[in-house]
Amino acid sequence: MRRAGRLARIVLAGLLGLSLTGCWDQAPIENRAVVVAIAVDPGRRGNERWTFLFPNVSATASSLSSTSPSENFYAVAVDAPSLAAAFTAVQQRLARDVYPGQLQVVLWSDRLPTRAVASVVAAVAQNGIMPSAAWVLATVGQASRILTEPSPQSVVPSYYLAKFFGCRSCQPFDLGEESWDWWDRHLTPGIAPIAPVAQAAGQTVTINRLAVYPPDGPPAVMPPLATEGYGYLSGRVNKATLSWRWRGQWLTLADIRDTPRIRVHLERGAVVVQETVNATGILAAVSQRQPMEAAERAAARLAAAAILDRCRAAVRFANRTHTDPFGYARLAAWTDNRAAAGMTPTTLDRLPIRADLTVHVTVRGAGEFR
Amino acid sequence: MTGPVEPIGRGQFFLLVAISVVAGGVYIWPQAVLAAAGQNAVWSLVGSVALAGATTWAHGLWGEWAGGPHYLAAAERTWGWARWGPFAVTVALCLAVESAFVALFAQMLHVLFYVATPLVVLRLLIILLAGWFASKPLNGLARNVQFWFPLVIFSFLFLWVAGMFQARDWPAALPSNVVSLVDIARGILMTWYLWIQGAVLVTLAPHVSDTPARRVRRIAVAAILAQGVILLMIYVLVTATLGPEAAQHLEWPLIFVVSNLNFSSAFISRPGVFILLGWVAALILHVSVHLYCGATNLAAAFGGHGDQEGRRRLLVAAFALVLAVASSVYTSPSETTDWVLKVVDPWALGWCLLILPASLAVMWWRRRVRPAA
Repeated sequence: MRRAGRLARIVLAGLLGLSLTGCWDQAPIENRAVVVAIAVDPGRRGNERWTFLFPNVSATASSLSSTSPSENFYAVAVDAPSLAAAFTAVQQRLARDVYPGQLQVVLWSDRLPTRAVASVVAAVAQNGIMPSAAWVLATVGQASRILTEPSPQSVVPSYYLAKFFGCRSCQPFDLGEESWDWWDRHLTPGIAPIAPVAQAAGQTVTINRLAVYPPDGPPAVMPPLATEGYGYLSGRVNKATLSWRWRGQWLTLADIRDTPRIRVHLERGAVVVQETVNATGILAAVSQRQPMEAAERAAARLAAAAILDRCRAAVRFANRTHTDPFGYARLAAWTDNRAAAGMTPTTLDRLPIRADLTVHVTVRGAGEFR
Repeated sequence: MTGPVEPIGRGQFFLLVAISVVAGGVYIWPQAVLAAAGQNAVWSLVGSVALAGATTWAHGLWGEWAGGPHYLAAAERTWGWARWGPFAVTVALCLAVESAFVALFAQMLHVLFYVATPLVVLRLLIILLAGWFASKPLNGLARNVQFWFPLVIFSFLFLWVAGMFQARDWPAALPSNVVSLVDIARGILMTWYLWIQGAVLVTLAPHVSDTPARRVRRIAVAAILAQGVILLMIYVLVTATLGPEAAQHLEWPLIFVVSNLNFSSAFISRPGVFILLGWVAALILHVSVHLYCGATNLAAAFGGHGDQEGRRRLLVAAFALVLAVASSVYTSPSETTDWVLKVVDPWALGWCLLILPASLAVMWWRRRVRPAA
């Protein structure tokens, strides 16, 4: 009996030892083609054109300095009806195992309508291995061109567009959206999904606009000033700068941050918003000949007017395009379920916004001379 | 039995009761309750915890009135020869829900982490480890729970705090201002899988050292309330991050939320993997407590002679084998979830609300008729 027990223990330990290591999923890194970014463009015959970007495995730590930016990454493009089909098609062209677990960025053309983007994002969310925390971007023109344009900012293994948003508080307006954000907004009535728009600018990109996705059809692209307004209204300002001509010289308020306070309710087929934006900034570049107090007062007044203009532009854009990128209708529906009960999700998505906006600006300091 | 069961401490009892509920199926929480009750889900959660606390208290009271070293003994003193009926139903419900938890957990591991590892390996691994823990004497099992449970809770708390920085939509976590009792009741039904403990409490309560029954009962209710707080924390995190509409589309909402945590500047940029360490331990301990209790009851029922500890171990193995076979029946995660929510849940809640008052009434009558007994 005791001998049988000992034998059972040895067998048990052996089984656990073999299975606990998870050998089945083990694959050496040199046998893997790690997908860092995917670009999606409209393709032929109803398919999408998928471009997968891989780090060049021949670039090693010692060879990186001698590897040119164009050799850091390589791309494979296929036509396929879905992400899973694209994976299979890409796999058939590569000698290594295509691994999606380190995906950093998904780019898509601004010509893709909401429905097509929704199926891409849902495919990312449904693929268990693929991280839903990948950044998403809409691109002006072909996404694959921006993806494959070599940039000296991209160094194996990280792709520069992931660093662009991953760098905390680096950008004046935090426009970064992760794939799950888009997915979440798309499934929630009363808020429109958004994606920052990347436009090629030489070996890098300019990102100062937002693509806003209506329930159906192509996205509406928010102009730069309205995008700034969106930033202020949604509390996404990290370190913005505003400048004016004042008494014959430049007056600049820098390092602007804000905290919005929002009150919403649903009323007669509209969402009524009372929002106060409290912004602070640091006075920079002001002549010593001017009294500081006057400069601060002027900066606060001019900044409040400029921010209010931008915020109004953002709300006008939303009303013109029948979208709600701010999520006012969603907030109103969550706080007052009774008022929202009679509205369909599409009604909530397209509600006009009646906004009463107030901006307060405080100068929290002035650039000191040393 | 070679000797009396070595008693366990109050803290150990608290942890054993806590791990015997919630820990098994928490990873599908709160998808179903949101689908059933929308923003009224908060009230469903409050109702569910209150009901679970009340049934736990009632179980404890019944155990105290009936006496005896385990559930089957208490059932015998209540129902006589008919005790095998309640015991069989309780064990069947427990096996049904435990096998579904094991299948679901293995499916989750397979979909999200170990794509190439065969499902059967993941299932067997969980059951083997649970069986191993359950084959230890009670104080050995209690020490394992005492060691692992705090680690599980700390890894959860760490991720919860990190996740709360990402949660932005607080109004989504607030209760609805349209209170629908039907929705709330449906929501409560959708939570009952968390509380199916198969009278673990009645089996363990007599072995708590030097503690009056009333206090043991209070400790058990405290364990239920503590797990209620954990459920509320998860609910707030999930709804404030995703909102109630999107969260109900996810099979494993909490996994989704924590796996989206992105500390791009930290050494470990995706801390979400910590949840895996916690939940593997939680599920294994959960299953092992149930295996222990099932086997202990049955072993004692087969008479008090001979090597009872050896018989108990054999019964643990037998239960584990049944669990392994039963857990292999489920095909897809959605089908398994449906089975838990739409079949097991109503039966388990109905059974609990039927047998518990009946048992209490019988014992109350017997105590009146024979107060000295």
